Amino acid sequence: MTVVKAENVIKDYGLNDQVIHALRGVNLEFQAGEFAAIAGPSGSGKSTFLHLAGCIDNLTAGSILVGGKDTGKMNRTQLAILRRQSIGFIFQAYNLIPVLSVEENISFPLTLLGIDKKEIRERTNQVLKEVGLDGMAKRRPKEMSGGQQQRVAIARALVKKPALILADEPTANLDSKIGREILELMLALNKSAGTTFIFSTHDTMVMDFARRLIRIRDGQIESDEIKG
Amino acid sequence: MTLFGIWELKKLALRNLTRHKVKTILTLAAIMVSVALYIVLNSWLGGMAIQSRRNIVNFEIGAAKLQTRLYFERKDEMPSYETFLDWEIFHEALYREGYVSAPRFVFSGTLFSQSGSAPILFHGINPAAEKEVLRYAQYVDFGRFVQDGNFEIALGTVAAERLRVGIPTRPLRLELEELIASVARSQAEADFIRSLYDITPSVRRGGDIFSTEERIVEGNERMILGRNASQADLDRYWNIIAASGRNDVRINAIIDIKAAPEMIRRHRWENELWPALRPEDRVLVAAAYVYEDFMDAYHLVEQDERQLNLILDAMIRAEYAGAIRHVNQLMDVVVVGVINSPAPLPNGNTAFIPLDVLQDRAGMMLEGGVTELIIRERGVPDSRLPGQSESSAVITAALELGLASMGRTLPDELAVFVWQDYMQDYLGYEALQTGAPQVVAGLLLFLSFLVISCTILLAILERTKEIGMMRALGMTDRQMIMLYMLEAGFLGFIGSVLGIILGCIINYPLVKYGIDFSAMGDLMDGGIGFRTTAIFRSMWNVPIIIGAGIAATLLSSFMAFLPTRRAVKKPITDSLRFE
Ligand SMILES: Nc1ncnc2c1ncn2[C@@H]1O[C@H](COP(=O)(O)OP(=O)(O)OP(=O)(O)O)[C@@H](O)[C@H]1O
Ligand SMILES: [Mg+2]
Repeated sequence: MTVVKAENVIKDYGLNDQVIHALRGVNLEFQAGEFAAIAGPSGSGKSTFLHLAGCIDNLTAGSILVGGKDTGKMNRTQLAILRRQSIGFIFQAYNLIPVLSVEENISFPLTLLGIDKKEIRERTNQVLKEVGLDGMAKRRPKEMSGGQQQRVAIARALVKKPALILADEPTANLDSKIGREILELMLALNKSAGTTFIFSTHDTMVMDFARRLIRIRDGQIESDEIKG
Repeated sequence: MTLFGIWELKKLALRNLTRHKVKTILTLAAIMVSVALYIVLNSWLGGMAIQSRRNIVNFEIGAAKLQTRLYFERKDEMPSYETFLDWEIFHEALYREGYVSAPRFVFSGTLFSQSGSAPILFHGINPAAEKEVLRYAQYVDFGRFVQDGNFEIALGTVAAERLRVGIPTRPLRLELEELIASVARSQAEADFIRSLYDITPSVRRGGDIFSTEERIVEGNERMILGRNASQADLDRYWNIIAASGRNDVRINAIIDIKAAPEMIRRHRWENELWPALRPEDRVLVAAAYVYEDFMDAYHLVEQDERQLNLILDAMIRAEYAGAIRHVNQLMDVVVVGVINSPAPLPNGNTAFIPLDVLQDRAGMMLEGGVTELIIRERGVPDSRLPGQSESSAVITAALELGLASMGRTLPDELAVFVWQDYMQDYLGYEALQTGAPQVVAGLLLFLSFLVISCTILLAILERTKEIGMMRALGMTDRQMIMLYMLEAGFLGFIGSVLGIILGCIINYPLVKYGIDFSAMGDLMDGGIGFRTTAIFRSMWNVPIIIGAGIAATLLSSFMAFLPTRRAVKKPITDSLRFE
């Protein structure tokens, strides 16, 4: 089943009378259960692609289908609801809410979905175990290490069982040992729950983890290989 | 999650207030102070206004007046010629329909005592009826209230003080000695009077203002009438003063009455009277006057009472100003009581005199006429302000009904006017007073909302990245706005609750004890201004208190609307990149 399909995606940025072509006709398709990395040098368009796939930015031309639906034909509210239901984000800077505890951060997307309290508690506890943070539910983000915070972010992305999780350089703020742990966790979750992960990186260690490696340069796909 | 499901995020909204505790506390303090100030100011002024209105009704004019329409039109001039007869009938008719009323003849004049004079507003009253409508007669400080048939007056304390009649409460020692010298008939009486006073030494700082040396100025000591002087003592003191003639006073007033003039100069006759007369009246008037050469004037020769009345009617129809005669009246009376009531008007330059004395024996030529009949519903508590049952229409209907049961009708020239009709000046003052400080409080409220909007603006700016994240996670624009309005609403709500508590804490003693402004007593004697003396009390106005809280909460909440809306207009990717 196709989760995301990008057809001839073009993204231009206007910057001081000058047009920057961030993506120049990208065609990509991701199936359910993939664990894919988008790699490329700085400024190549990795983040831009993830933003478009995550429906938090508008494309200039082409189309992006999420779960078969053309996102170009949706309004702001419909896109917000699509993101709420189907897409999880993991950010390089974790982006947790500082005044909420770990479990409150994790349950935030479920609250948005209007799920009842009892189920929220069960699913939050479950996910806390999966990311190896049980016992830390009551902590505040600032009382945790970067690796732990990123685990919380992963749990927050995972808890609503989205069709797709997008992670923009999820390990860039972490040292390589912790980064590896995070990737191992993501891979394990991909295997056990079948969640689709697409993440960007320019770190070869991270690329090694990917089951599919897409290389991008100057806004164009350079190579796309599926590893055995 | 629905739009209003944002309530599920109340915990987040509340916790957000803990991010910058100092900023939150300062903002709360600003809201608290302005809400409290607003409540206190409003309650205070509301209390003054209610008390003033009660005092106007209970001490000045009752709920309404029956008066001639012409008097009402010219009430500022107090046209004492605009009187009406048979007040007893209207009084009875009103009584039958559940209203008490009291007749009055009001005029201004000068009162002379042994030691001075003062302009006074005189009220010819019927003591029994007056006491049914108004309450000041219960507040006779010294002496007693006036009684029917006696040549006596009760005087406001301000006028009494000024004319030096009655018992002085705070004389200088020299003044008291002078008084004693002129009233005491024996050494025993002199000692008795002295014994009623306490001395407070009058001290002056010696030398320059930095000197602590103090000296007593001989004779300048302030004597204060002892608070625990018994009623019997005061009565005895009053009688000693009265026996000396010190309380004898003379009224000098010019009373305007309507009468056919004794003499009319030819040019007025020709230019003013004759052209204005109806042709059918001219014969009548011409027959009553004869022209005399040496004075170049017309003289009244008609003697017959009925004819004279017809002539007067004709002149009034012609609106001839010469038909109003100014009669100078002198009248000797005794001050029998001094009034010191909770309302300033009866305490001021005001005197009350039995109406029957004015009417009959003193020869003021009133011939039973009164200028007004003051009216109040029978049996209503003093604390109640006139309502529907004391409106002009309802009283008029009742009066007509009562008159009909007596086989009479209400003459056309009479009408019922309610107290507000006479109190335009006061009501304007009240609106100004209760309005102006509200502007100040409103300004403060506005300033505190600037503080709130700053706080929120900064919070939103600081949380740009977080807002981007929340939107990426699927919050809609409206949910985002609601979340921040909820947060600002909590800020307003907590501030308001604190403000209400603070306001009530401040207001409580103001309601219970009030503030004693009696030192400023003399300032309260104006014709306009709040009608309270001595102790000003605040009040509890629950709708205002709750309303202030709700308004502050809603306003505060609304402060978050525009900044949040602007924040969600920004592309999510821009917000996420924000550092
Ligand atoms: N908001 C923007 N306005 C203008 N230009 C932009 C904007 N965002 C990205 N770009 C440009 O688009 C191109 C692609 O940027 P993008 O952020 O997708 O690169 P990236 O591959 O994620 O790089 P990095 O590895 O440094 O994160 C770059 O040339 C960048 O300068
Ligand atoms: Mg990037």
